[in-house]
Amino acid sequence: MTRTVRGVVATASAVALLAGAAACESGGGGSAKGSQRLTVWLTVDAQESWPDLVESTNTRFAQQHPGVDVAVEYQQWTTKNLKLDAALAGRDVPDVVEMGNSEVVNYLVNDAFAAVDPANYDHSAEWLPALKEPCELNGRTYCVPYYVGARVGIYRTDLFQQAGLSKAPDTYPELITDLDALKARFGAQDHAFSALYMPGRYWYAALAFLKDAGGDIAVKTGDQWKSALSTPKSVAGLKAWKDLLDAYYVGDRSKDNGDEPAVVGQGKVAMFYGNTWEAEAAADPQSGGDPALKGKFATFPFPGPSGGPLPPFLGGSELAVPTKSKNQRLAQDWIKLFTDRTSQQRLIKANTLPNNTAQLADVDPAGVNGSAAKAAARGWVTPPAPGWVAVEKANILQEMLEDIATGKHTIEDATKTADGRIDAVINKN
Amino acid sequence: MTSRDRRRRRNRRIADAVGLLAAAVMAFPVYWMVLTAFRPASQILHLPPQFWPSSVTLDNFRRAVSSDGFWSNVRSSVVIGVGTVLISLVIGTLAAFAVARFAFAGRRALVLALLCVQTIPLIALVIPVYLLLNDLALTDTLTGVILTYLAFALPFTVWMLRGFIVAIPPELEEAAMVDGCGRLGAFRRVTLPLLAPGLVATSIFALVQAWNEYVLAYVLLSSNSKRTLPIWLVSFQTSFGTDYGGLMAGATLTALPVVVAFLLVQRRIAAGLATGAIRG
Amino acid sequence: MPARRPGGARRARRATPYLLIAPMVGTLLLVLGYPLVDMVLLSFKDMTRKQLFAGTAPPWVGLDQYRTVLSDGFFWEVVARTVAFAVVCAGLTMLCGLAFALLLRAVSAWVRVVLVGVLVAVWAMPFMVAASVFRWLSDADYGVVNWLLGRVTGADFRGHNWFSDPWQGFAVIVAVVVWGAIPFAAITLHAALTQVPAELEEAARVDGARGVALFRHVTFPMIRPLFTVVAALSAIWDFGAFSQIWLMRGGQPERDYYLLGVYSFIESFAVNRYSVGAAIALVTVVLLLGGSAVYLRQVLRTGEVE
Repeated sequence: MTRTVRGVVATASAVALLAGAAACESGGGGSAKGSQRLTVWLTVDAQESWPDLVESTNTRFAQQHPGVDVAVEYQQWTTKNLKLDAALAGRDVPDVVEMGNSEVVNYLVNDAFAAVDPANYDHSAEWLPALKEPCELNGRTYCVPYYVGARVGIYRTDLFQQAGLSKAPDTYPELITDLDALKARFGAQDHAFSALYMPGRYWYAALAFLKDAGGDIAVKTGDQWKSALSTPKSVAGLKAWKDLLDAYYVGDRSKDNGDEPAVVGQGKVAMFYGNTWEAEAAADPQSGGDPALKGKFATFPFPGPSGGPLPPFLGGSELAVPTKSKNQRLAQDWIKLFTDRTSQQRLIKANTLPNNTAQLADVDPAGVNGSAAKAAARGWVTPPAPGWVAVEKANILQEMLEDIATGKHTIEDATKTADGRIDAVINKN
Repeated sequence: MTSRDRRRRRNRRIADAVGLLAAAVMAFPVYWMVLTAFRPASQILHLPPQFWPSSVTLDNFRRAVSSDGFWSNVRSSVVIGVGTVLISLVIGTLAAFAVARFAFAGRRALVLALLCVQTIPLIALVIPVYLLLNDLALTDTLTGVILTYLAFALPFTVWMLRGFIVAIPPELEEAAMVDGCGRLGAFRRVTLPLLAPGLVATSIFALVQAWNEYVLAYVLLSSNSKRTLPIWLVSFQTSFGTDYGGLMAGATLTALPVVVAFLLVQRRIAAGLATGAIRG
Repeated sequence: MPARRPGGARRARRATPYLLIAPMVGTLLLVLGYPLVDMVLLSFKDMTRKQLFAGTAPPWVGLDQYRTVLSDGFFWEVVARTVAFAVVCAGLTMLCGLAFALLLRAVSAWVRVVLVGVLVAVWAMPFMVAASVFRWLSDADYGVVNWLLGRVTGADFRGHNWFSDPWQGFAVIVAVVVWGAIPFAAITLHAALTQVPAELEEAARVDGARGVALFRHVTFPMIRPLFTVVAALSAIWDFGAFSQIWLMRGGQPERDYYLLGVYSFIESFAVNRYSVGAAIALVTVVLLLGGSAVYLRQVLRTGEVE
């Protein structure tokens, strides 16, 4: 009996101890204690790539607003919106939120974010259209551009030399000749060698070809969006993409470019299409790349079949202030500091592109990011339709491209099916 | 006599060989995870595959452990995991005993409800659960997460322990009651020791569920210091690429405490089993 | 023996079970009560983000969501696929789990510790990580599986994509799910086997029973209640399997890979048709309960005491 009593007492005290430990942490239910508190949600990208920028912004903010405590919480891209939905439905609302420029429109349409006055922000007259357009609704602006990335061609300088190629291709016919030369030189001996790395689900690349041919993903007539993937121009663009893939890519066609650093790091790829920072990722041991390849990559504006550079998808982020936030002025001040020209300089150094065309000139044209800055002028963004985020999350484009790349369906059939699926959701909020 | 012993020993050796082979097959993915943690990430996708590291490095571990808030994440995970398990064991054993040994009005409805609750995916309830905890001022608290985890730990615990208790003949308790113990006393002295292996299996399962759960913990917790290890693991994935080496190192560190905890408990339970078997 | 007033003792005894279940019922009502009611009501409305954020009441649409879901051919395709998946996974899990449990009983002590350690390590591995490892192992270009198959059979498996054909892809996913589920079944069934008194089996052996017959007529009936518990739980979890498919397809599952759990999640949280997602989740519950009706009846009948 006593042994059991001891057991029960031990268990009970353990539970009490845990409750105490848990309770000690539970001070932060959400109420401010004296000083004000600004909650900022940035994605783990900022934590990984420019934590010093966050620090310096907080320091500058503290000088302007002493007594305000800034809490930066880093969020995961995969589940950030789920958490945001829950938070915006409740009472503990963050004051600044980072949103991708493809996903922010749905939130605007649902009155999630407060309007901002562009005049308060640095270089706002020169904001990149790819970042500005998704923020605009009915003539007002609801978020602030943060940064973008543009995709360019990246190639192995040493493999080029070995194949007798002295420089990167400027035109599309030159590109084809160069790829043929690489394929002949290396592909004959190594069956795993891909002159061009182009996996089937890599929709940013495939749709760049669609755009280059003059096609569109979706077109707005009146106030209704309609999917345009099966129009002749779009199909022509996708055909050019498939031809390139068929000729020069040897790997798994049902993947997207997630494994790119590791695959390119294996040394079996001569050229690929990606964001500028991906050039260094292939040599970064942390991303799965091979450090022996460091310094062996260079970038060039990828030529499109139409004659100009392939229009890159400008994927980037915006910063927004929820309407339910209780610190809207403070939030806007923080964003102002985080996106001004000095901050943009730091982002340029991290090989991303700034949020305005004026500072595009600050990007070193000879450096790895120079081609991106040049290509950015022709860049495009996903349709700012209310239901676009549903299209992305339902993986409609990826499935269509996988079907085309693996030959499961013809381009005409696959695009028609995708059009049907997109039309069903693109106008819904 | 001796030939039977020889046959038993041979059977045991065959069983050992089969057991080790089975262990090797099951453990291969775990081995691959640990392997990736100890070697540079460039060797992950490599043809031909390298089953042994050509160069061993501790860099991945160093990177993992020195990342922001790792130790406070460990503390959060431990508090939440142990809290969920202890509370669900205590409450669950009492409830399981009631459901297994007593006939009372509403017992059938309760059993049906317990099964029903286990068929509901908790992720589907994430937003209402968040709003509920928001109203109770329990968001961003470890207590709130423990409470939420009880929603799947409790029904599971009761369901499992009920199965174990039913398998123990009630005559044993009745014999103890004839000797003068009350109902609960008989349960404590007779059934509980025999229940030990069941308690261990159930608690390990509840611990692993709580330890590795990601979506609910991510939505319910905000402060970087309160976050749990699964959230820390996902942060190795950014738009700029995934640090697989660090991720595998982190995962090895994350899985280790559970294995250690189990091995510690396992020996005590084995001792309990032996005494239980003697008493019969 | 202290004298007790019979009426008081009877009343105390009648109250005991209710007192014992009170903490559990209380906790579950607290945590699940409001969310469940909310989800059920949500399935009869049509909620968008706007109403979620503003806190306004979404319009009531009655059975519309259910009608949309149940009249969609794709939904029934997903149901059929989920049932097949759950049956195969649960069946394999129980078979392998039982095999492991018997193995655990038959091996020497040190091998048992190794085996249990491995099982717990498999159990403890975070699923996101296990998915990454299995994706690497089944990688078309660099995976160990293709390389091994090439060496063993002599055919060239390089570049063989396991996921382009859903049958093969599901074979991989079933392997992953069963691999992750074996530890639970094995350790629980082993615990159940230890509860079987050794004398029972000795007596049967003296009577001449051997091997399979011994197992079928003596051992298995003793562990049957737990076997059915574990089997039912496995079937329920496998029916609702979500994260395994999600992660094995890199967060972008193709339509051919949709199971009910994936479908419900994508509708609710990816595409933000919360009400449709809630309806699908509830239909899943009803289907599961219907499917386990037989099991339920058996459960309610056993354990009848007093």
